[in-house]
Amino acid sequence: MITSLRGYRTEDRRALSLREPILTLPASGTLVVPLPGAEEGTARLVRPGDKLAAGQRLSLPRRSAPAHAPAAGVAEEIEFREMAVCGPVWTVRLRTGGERRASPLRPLPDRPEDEDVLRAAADAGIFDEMTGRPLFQELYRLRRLGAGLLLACAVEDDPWCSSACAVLREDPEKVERGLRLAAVACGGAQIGAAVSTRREEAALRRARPGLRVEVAGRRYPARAFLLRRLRAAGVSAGLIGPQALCALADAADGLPQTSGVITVSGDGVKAPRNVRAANGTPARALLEACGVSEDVSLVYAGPAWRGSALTDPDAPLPLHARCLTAMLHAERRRQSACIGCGRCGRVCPQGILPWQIHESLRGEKVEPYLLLNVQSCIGCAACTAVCPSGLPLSAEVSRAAAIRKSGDFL
Amino acid sequence: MTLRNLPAPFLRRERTVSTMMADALFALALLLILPTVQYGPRALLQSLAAMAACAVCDILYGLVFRHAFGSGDPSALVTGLTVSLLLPVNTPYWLGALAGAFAILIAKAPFGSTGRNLFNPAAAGVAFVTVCRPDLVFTYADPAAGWLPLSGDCAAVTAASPGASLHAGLKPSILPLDLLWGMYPGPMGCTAALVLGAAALFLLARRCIRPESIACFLLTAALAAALFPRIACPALTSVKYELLTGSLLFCAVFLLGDPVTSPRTTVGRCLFGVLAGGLLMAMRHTGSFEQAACFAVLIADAFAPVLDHAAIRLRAKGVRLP
Amino acid sequence: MKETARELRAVFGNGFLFYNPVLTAALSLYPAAVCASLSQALPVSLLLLVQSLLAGLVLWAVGSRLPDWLRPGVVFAVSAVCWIPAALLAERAWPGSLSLLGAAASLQIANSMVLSRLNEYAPTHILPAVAADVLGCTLGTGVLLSLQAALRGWLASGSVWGETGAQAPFAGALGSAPAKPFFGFLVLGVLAAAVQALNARRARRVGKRRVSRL
Repeated sequence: MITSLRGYRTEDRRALSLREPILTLPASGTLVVPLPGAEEGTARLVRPGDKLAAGQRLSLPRRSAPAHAPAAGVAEEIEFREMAVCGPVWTVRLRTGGERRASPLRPLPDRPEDEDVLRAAADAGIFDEMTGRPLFQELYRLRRLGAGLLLACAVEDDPWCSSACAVLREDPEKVERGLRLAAVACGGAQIGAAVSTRREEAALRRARPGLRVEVAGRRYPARAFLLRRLRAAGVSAGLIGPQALCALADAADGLPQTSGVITVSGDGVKAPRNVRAANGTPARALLEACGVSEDVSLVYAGPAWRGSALTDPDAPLPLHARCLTAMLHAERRRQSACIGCGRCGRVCPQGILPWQIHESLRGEKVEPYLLLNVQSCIGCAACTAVCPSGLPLSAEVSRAAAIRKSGDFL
Repeated sequence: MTLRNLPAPFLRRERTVSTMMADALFALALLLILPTVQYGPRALLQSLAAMAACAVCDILYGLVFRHAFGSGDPSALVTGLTVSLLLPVNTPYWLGALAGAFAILIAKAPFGSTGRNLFNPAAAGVAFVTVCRPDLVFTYADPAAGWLPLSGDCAAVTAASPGASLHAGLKPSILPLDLLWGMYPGPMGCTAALVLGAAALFLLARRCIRPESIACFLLTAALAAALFPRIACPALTSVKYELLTGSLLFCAVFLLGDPVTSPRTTVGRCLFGVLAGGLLMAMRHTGSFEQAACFAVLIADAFAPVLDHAAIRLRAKGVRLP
Repeated sequence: MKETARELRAVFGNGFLFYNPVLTAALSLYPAAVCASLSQALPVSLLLLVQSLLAGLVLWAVGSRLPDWLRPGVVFAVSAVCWIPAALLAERAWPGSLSLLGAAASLQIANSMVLSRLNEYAPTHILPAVAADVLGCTLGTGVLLSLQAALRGWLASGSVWGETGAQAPFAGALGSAPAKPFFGFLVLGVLAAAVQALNARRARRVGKRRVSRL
């Protein structure tokens, strides 16, 4: 019995960062550009010391999207390192300088076919910031699943992040153009936009009358609830980030994706706003552009539910990082025993009982048939967020799912 | 700037164990107002003595066995305050302290402290002193006699509680609806039914206690009182007397609603309430003590894991249980 | 030879302390409830010791030849027969004690710990192991019975032997509670928790992960 009261009500702190328009930070200094999927040596196209032009292709991985240089300069070093949001990845350290521009990519024809759009998305190296995966893979997946509705997702699922809303607000016409191209790639799906609140819906209807708008609400995980509601109404929907859609519209004109919009906010930032920064900009540049206080004790990149804390303020951020939040007081998460309050079971959108999984895994012998429903976990981590005892319930549920999947329990 | 490395999610928890304990302390402190007005500052000193004993035992146990300062949250204070509210005001201070020490050292700490205890520590402490010194535990001061002296052993004007009259098969001399106001002899925090109701509503709104076990417990007790009255009177009068006398309401809200010792599944909690209600009414009929709620709670606590196991196994078989 | 000696020591240690049936399996609780002073606990302990040793020897000799369905009945009969010399010995050591205990003494024919060891261990193991197990279990039970009885006797009447006339300490606080059976269970419960903590520490030293369940 999954009722509509599940989920976790988050606070809405986006208003401050949405007051100002998006600030474009010029690419300067040193950028560390990630090359996702470029584990093979032949996938990496640059060597240390190479002079690079802005927009030059840096990698050609077999199963991911290529990366392009955000600015002209010199490739100082190619190294394998850990990067926030991306994980361990090959990177190019680029010292910016010079004005060389690479030749543009092949633009799309006037009436593109679905394969043309997919090729353009792949060539431009576009990443969907909502899922963190290349856009062409996401479009391919939606086409395979037969998605009938594509929504530009401005549902943030984070208290501080507002980058998707800002992109949608800045140029809704470009987002719609990208949506139409994505719909072509998915075999002629309908298009629309998804927002969190009724106020945003009204604003969007004023800006783009005629565009279908769905309201997802503020209960986390709002995206999952929206998709479930649409599926219950018989509509198979897919959510794509507005930044990726804008990049798709640009790719139709031959421009690769080299920058992303990141929300810099939190109570440790004096002037929170959205910043358009080049791929691989160090976090310090973003924080200083918005006035960070010296007393911050926690800086994390990515949404609050699955972001990663940065210990080095010079750590580079990829273009699909979505947000960078600086907090003055980090809550010390002290673990104690489960007190049986039942909040985790009430909050789970999939009807799992994380407290029961925790009890089962605590004993010596685990009975896998008692790990009920764990395969349906969507990894939203709402259970970890509400637990008063600070238990890592989301990790335990994924561990239980791994035990069940392994079949190693005889 | 020194940046910390913490794991996701990075959200401020709206509830921690400490805030839930603070809510419980607030609700219990509400119940102290009426006894202080009726009996004087002795009520406050009784609570302080029990809370101090619990806190000291918790800290010592933590220091000796776990190299930590106590169990890390104010649950020992909640236990101490609960224990003192279940005992009369005119008992010597060492009785509450003994009950509190037993609650922490025997019923809570060896099982693993907060979150791991099988039995409700306050119920265990009060049950222990009831068996040891029933003469002290069931001698109540008459509220009409005014404020009690603050010295250790106080010679108070005592009066029989309505619970004692019911136990003897006699109709209490107080009208049922007058029991709501709490101006009659009884355990310190168990007499004011209206304040108990307010405290229960507060805790339910803050989601510190769960309503299923309380509701089933009260329904079962009311049904047993209506079907098997202890005195010759109409069924409704019997229900009013049984529900409003003794520590039934207090134990329903604070001992049965405790999320740690009650079952975790909804079905389990309902059965738990029914079991506790049935046991309590049986003990009231056939037991030798006039207040038996703590014993009923302890026995029901022992069955709580069994009820949970049964509910989980039924769910694993596919039965859709809430 | 050295392994056998170490194994025998392990069997004895398990029966005596680490897996003592009273503390870890809640067996033989009726004597714990009944014996409220050393004058009652020591005769019962000696009774259990002699009874179990004799019965264990008999069952080691014949037990493996019995069919499974017959074994519980034979165990009971052997236990009853071996009770007689054990009771006579206890009566000789502490005259009058068993008759004061009354039915509690004769009910030790059906003592759950004795029956369980005789049913499960004695028929299927070698003689030294049977002797070590029986000795360990009964000595451990006897020590525990005596410990809790001594404590209760001292708290109830001021003397561990249960003699009246001495001043009971904490009489004001505890009243008549130490003489009641629940007090014996409380003491055993605390000792059981201590033994589980000891087992957890041993397991950690050996490197096994052990989580105590309730």
